[in-house]
Amino acid sequence: MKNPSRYLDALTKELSRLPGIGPKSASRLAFHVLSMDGTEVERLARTLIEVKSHIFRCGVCGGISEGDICPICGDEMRERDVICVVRDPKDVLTIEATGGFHGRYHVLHGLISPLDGIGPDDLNIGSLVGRCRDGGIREIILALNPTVEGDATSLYLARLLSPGGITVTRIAHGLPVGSDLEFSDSATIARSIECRIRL
Amino acid sequence: MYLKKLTLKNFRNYGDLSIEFSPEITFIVGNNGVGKSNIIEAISLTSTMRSFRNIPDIEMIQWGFESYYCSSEIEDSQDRLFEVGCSCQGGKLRKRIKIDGIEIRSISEFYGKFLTVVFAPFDINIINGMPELRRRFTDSVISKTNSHYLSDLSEFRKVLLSRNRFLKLLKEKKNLDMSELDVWDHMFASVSSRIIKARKKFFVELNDLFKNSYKGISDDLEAPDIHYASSIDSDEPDYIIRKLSEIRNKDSIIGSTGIGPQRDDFIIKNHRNINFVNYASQGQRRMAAICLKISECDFIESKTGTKAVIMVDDIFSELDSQRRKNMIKVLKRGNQIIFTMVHQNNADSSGFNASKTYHVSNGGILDELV
Repeated sequence: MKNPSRYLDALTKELSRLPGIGPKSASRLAFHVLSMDGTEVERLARTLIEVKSHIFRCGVCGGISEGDICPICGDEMRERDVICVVRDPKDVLTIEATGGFHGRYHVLHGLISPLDGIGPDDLNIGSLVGRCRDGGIREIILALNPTVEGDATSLYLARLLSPGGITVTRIAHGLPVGSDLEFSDSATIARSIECRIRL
Repeated sequence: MYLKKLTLKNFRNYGDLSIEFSPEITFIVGNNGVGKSNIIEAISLTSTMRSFRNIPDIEMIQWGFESYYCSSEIEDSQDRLFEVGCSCQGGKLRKRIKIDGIEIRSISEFYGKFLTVVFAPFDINIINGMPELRRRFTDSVISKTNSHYLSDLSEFRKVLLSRNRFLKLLKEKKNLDMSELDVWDHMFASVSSRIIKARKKFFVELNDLFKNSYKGISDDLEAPDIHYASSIDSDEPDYIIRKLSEIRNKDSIIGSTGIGPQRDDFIIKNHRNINFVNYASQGQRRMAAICLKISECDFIESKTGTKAVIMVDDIFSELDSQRRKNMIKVLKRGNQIIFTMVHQNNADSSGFNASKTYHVSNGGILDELV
């Protein structure tokens, strides 16, 4: 279906580039924007630009920050000797929401994946090495996805950082809390048996 | 387990078909080109998600239509209804697979639940053809009985692709961090080790089953042995890592990985260590291929306790009458059997309590012969 206006067409195209938005949703959103109040549209446009112009990468961990350093890295109350390594800034939020981790983070902004042309040099690894070299780090927790790319990245970091005398750990593979053994897939059960712990 | 009913909509030459099978033996008879094998194809699709002839989904849609649908109703099994639907609209292919009405997202949730074994004329290529065909046979049989193996294989493919991509970049003289290659070697070794272990175990069991069925069906006094031919001598991860580092220079010149499960093969040899394909006649090779398939049925039964549905796609025309008789005798082992053939007088159904015969004529019309 061709849009009646090239402006509407352009907006639909831009929106459909967003994740999870197909051509139909994009068209619906574009028509919605058209029906909105002028001030509402301006507010939306302003917010979009502000998100990009006011948020930076934290100079320490690479996570999102409104200043040079993010609130987590700047928080003197947090444990300074443990770093949790994650793939994306969004993962920081996920782990923060648990309230179970009190150290600081390091965001890689991707995983090693030759198939996507991403090597270690393309990731935020150099500054992690720098943080470890500066001292005071006891443990690095790798919280990356249990995929081929996640495992390769974990292994790479473990080999890179362990020789410096730092304990490198990886989050456990296993059953979701409160789940039923019967309804878990066999790969997960096999992994959780492999990674069992002594009681 | 046995297949009770197959339903097809717009699948190849069948617009709307529903066919019920005998729990023991069913014959589908008709001239060449009327669509006998399409029925086998549909059944194999609901069992393994793909055509046993390796035909792409888009070509299985009836001419002039945009989608096909097939479903198999199974008896004596935990899961009863297997459905596969595929639509192609505006060049976009969508496939939907369900077990008992629940949509399946990954192949490992599907594979190995509705167990079938297809005997087809081109099985002889497993004996005669490229190692790739033997690997495919090996992997499909192990996967039917072991879902870990299936997930190991998909992990292996990804790791191999990643390592090879890295080697290709290296070949192009890109400045790369070699410790990344150490990581891929490590991951390659650990998943390869699991695959090689599973294959080793499989070939020990397959060899016994193969020799048994070979003796039962052929007049040869001596049955040859199946030997697993791995490109790596040991399945220990440390050994594999060492080997990988030894061939690293060569690998980076070629831009791919020189050893590993992707290079494995199996060889059939007699006790004098002579390769079966070098001394066997065309007829003996055909028999050996049939014996491999019979061993597959036996292997599935010994691992899962389930008798797979056997489908025999037009292989009788290539056997002499004595071997035909032997084969029927060997196949009569309690599994449900579905035959396709040009003339029914090729096969003798005496000895089976319940049989059904269908005649297929041009235009996909099926009549039951009583």
